[in-house]
Amino acid sequence: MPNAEAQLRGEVRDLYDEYAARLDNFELENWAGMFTDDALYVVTSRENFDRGLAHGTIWCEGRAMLNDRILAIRKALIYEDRYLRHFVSGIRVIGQSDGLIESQANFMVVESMIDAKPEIVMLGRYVDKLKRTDGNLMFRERQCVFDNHWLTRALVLPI
Amino acid sequence: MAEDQRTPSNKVWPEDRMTRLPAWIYSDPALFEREMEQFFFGKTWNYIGLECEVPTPGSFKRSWIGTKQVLLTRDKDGEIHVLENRCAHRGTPVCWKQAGNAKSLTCPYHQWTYNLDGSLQGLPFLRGTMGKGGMPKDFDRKDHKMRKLRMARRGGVVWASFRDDGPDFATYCGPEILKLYDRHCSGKPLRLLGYSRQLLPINWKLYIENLRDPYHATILHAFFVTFGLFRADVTLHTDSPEGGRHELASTQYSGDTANQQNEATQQMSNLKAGMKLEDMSIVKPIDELKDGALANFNLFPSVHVQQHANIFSMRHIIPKDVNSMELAWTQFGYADDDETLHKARLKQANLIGPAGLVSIEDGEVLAVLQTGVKAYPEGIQVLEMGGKGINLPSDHYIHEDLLRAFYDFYRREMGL
Repeated sequence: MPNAEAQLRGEVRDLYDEYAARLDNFELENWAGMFTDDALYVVTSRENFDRGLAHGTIWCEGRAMLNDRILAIRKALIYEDRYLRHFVSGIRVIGQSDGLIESQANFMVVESMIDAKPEIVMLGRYVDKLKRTDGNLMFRERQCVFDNHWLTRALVLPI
Repeated sequence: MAEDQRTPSNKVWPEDRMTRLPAWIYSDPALFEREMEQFFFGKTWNYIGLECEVPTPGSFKRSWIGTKQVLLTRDKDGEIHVLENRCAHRGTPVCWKQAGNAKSLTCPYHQWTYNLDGSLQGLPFLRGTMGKGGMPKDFDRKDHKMRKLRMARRGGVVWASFRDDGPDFATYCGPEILKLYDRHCSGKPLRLLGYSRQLLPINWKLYIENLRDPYHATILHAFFVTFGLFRADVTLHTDSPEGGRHELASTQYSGDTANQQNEATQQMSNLKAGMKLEDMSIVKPIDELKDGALANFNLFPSVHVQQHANIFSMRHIIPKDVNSMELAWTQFGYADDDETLHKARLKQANLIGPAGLVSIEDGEVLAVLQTGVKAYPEGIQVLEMGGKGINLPSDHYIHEDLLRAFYDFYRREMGL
């Protein structure tokens, strides 16, 4: 593999690892900081995605909407404590166009709650467009496309 | 007494019937089976889907009436049908896909093939092979169809009933429900936006109750309250028409009340006065129906029809067993939505669904509540907010009259 490609893939892997760590550590504000101001963040089912249906279970356009969701999670919403852990694998750089890097990866998110065995809350793939800003890669678009037919109970935390 | 034969002797409704609710109704498997027969498979109309989900000849979509799987289809002539998803031969679900388009439906087991109107097109080895086997001479394909259910269509929405001897759809709804129904499902072509599905570990009645409990909405849902979307200092028209069977609620939306403080808001301990959104578009709807109203209704038993600002949802209630249900959210708009309105619907949908900034809390509270009522079936719940009778319609939030009306209806129907 040519050096530039290997270097980019390494960078993307670091980005994904950092993303997962920030969510797992509940650093939600730092998580939102990985998106561009005009980013699109969508969590949607494969059922919707494959059929080109626009609705997302979470559908945020712009970092302001991410910040509002964080505010709700931190200050307003009532929910049972839970811990998420993200497992990301199969990272691929698909291509580059219009100054954006297209990349994808598989994810598995496991949720641990009181009085219960950990459960796979979501299984799917990230479909991303990355933008280089001041030398760093940021998410211009992240679609979390889950394979699950259902979400169990409620989806409280970002994926 | 007849009802004692139907329920175990230790399971009786508490004496103060109107204001007391026994916890065993949420975990009794035999009662659940009776509810399926009485309500979902009884003389009721059940939500199936939207016509725009089966847009062209050959389109099909899987749906549910209670625990039974059905199909919504559009045949080669463009006619819509609701079929039991069940092969006339051995009972195998014929269609294994969530949705799609096909010239015919073939049961994988023995390849009995059906037209999209449910009629039997053909089957392999009808006349046997090498002069042996085959169906008897009197076998007539016309006698073997996928069962077609009684169907009703109104305003682009499809309904079905397992029973042919119940009331027609409009009579079943009643005039008050129809008034709200026709308001946004007016026949103007609809556009499917997509689905969110959640599996709730709860008895389905807890969800029906949640819809009929405006008291909780002012308290639990801080997001609603804080941003003036749904709060106790605004009038709320509620009723439980057709003898407690259905439920409706409508209110006037005002973006002006967001973050206002007064006597009523002081009692809402969840109200976060300092909370400000960076993107207010989620709580500043476009008044597309030109009446400033938010209106929704529970068309019992199968669906909650919601118009919350620019969010149009069908919340399909699909009981799985006594302890679980699927809540399938179908989001839609109008075929002629411009980009601004389309985007407003996608954005506002963050309030609802499995990850909704409001509805997350219903999933959470009800899941925890189910563990409580299951562990304490002998428990007795209190329904006295707003009085001890049924005083409807009501113009405020702080009451449980809709719950008393519902269980009055429920006891009558179930003979409890």
